Amino acid sequence: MPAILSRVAPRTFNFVAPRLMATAARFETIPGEDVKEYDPKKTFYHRDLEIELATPDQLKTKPLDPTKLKFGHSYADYMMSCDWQQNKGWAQPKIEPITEFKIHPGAKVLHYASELFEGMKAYRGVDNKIRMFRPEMNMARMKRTALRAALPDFDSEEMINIICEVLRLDQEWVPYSDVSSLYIRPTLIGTDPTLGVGTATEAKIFVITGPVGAYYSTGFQPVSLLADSRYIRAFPGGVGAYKMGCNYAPTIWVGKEAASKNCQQVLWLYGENEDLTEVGTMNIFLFWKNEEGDMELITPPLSRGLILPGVTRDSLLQLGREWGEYKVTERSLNMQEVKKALSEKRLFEMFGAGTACVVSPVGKILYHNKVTDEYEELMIPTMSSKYGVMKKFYNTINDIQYGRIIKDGWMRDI
Amino acid sequence: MQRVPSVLLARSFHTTSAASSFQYADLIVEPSTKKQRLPSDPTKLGFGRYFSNHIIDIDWDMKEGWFAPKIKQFENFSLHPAAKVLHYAQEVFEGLKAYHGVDGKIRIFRPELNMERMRRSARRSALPDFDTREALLLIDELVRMDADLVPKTDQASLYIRPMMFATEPHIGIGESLQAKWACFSAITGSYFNYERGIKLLADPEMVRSWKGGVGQYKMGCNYAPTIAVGKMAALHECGQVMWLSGEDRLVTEAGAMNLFVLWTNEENDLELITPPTDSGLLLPGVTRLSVLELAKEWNVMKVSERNFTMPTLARAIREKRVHEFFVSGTAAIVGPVSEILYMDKEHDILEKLHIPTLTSKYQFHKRMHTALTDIHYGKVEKSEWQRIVEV
Repeated sequence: MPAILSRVAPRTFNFVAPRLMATAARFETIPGEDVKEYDPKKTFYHRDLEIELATPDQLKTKPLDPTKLKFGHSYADYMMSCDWQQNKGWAQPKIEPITEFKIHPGAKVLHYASELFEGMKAYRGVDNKIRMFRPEMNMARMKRTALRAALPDFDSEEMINIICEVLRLDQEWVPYSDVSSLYIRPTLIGTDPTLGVGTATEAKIFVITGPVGAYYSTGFQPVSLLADSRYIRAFPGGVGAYKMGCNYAPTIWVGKEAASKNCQQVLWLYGENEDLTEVGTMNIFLFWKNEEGDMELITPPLSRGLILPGVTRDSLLQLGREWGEYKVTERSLNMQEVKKALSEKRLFEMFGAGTACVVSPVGKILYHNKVTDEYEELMIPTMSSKYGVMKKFYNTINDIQYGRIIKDGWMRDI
Repeated sequence: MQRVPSVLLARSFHTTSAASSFQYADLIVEPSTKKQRLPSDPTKLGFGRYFSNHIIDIDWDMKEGWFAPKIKQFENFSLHPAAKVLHYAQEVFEGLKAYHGVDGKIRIFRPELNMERMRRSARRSALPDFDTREALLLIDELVRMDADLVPKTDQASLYIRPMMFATEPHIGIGESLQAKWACFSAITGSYFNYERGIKLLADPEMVRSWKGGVGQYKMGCNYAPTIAVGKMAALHECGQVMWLSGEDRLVTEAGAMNLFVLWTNEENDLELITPPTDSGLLLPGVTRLSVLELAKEWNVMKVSERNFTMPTLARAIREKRVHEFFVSGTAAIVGPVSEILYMDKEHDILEKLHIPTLTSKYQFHKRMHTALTDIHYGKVEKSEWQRIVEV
């Protein structure tokens, strides 16, 4: 490693050892993860990293109370970026003070949504160490998404090492709080300026970060969902399983529709049977007593490609299975089953799961009945559940993220 | 036919009084000092590679409304890395063309239809609305300023690309408080091979749009997923993908174009058929509408907008009832299809379906292509389809 050190700007931190990739390997579908030879056509390299330190006047004032920060409104001082060209491969990655991009008006990202992203977080633990939560899972998903979006591939570990450098420079932006964190947004966009709908010949990967406050400063807030099968998020043969920008644009207007009906999120249904797929931009979980009388945690399966394979989703499934307190099942679930279980008082908890808030309890569903064309209000008793399934997940994940308990291979120290 | 004054009206540096749209009257012009150089051979122009000298650039803000439009030198945008467009694809666009006519006049083909569609796309994308007439006046001005770049040949044209995207630097998913409307143009040659006909790949596992989605809008999000699929089609030596939707494999679009079939239907009528737009699965193309309107005017065959499935089409091709199959769009106008590679793994189908479009005795697609280009280049007058830009 010393040879690498000499090529980047001086700093006072040591490198972390390579981490376990076992958990990511299960998800990894792209071959060629072993990048041994230096080949900029395959990836950019941490050892090529150029760092441009901010001048004092470029450094921004950090927020006084990080717990009050709203998501995605303020950014830390630095960003990482790296350009790619089809014939040359990746250029040198760079960390510099956050700055506006110059983008050609014909760039593919602005017309054909040639873009994808990830969302992950760094936490300041109770021991004052900064950690990331399962970043290799996000990077593996980002690589799969890049393949589907016809954007260039890169090496997960190189990317994670570079993100670690950003975090070292911006470490004071990681809130001193066990309810706040630093949100990390890696993004990959197609930048070449030709108007044909086709593979981008130029691209840019970049990472920005920003502190986010507590979601539940006053305790859990149950959300109301609009469930209306006239709007869909994903379909078979589409790209619902990938974190491509194109999955989000159509949801904005539907989100406004939901807001006009006093719902905070949309419950995305799919197909004739109105299968539950996602909630807002989160995966959905349900805890009930099934028709056979078993206590069961259910989330829809990834098999049809309608659902984003969430990192939190995967973590909850793993924890649930490890605990062995109830049945844990990945299977399709439709509105009729939900309504039936509710009427038979067998449905105890429903919650979203995602990076932003770990879990988000559902209190109500405003269901558009397609037969009667009327709205039905379904009350979900998540908040009064005596089982505390969602709560246990929330506490455990938080304990892991803030270093109160150790879960092998999940946290990566910076 | 709309005549536009070539002198600019009074301008204001403040936001426009009518916040519901930008106003041509507020236009600020900063002429470019650079000049685009073009290849002398118009067949080398390709599509969307050579940009002209100017761009319309208009900012919008939820509180202030639309700012004064600017036409300035064509140059890079400056965007915050958190701008919503870069993350959530909050973007819409249009494509239309200006042609240098045989009489020396510059004509834009039915631009009001593009602007109406852009407004519908904007609404579905939670982006701001604007006035069609004001947008057209600005586009006229843009074309006027780059009039010398409208190719003086009937083999090329000036492709006009209006666009609007969310610029607010806030990565929460939701309505954008800021947006930009822009429009630039690119010199476009004839890049479509009309002699050979194109091959399409029809694979129901690859889907462009679905009931309840946004397939009928020109939103950027409809295009990103098609890029990798287009690469797969190329591996099968197919130039474009034919998009099927749903369990019953409804035929919807091909590539980024609408499609038409000229066949003898099961009732033994000669019929021109294209899927209807009310399914919400396909883009209501301007060329598509024009083909339908001309075909109805000519009244030489039955003209139908009706859904049909891939199995129905395949059977008709096998029974040699399909005479012509062509795609329609602003870029290609009308393009003949010669073959469909039909791959349906679920039903164990792998079949090359040959379509005799090029040798058809009707040569309907050629007649249609000629009729449309005659209107484009002013050889035939159809004034309600030709917006003349006074230079």
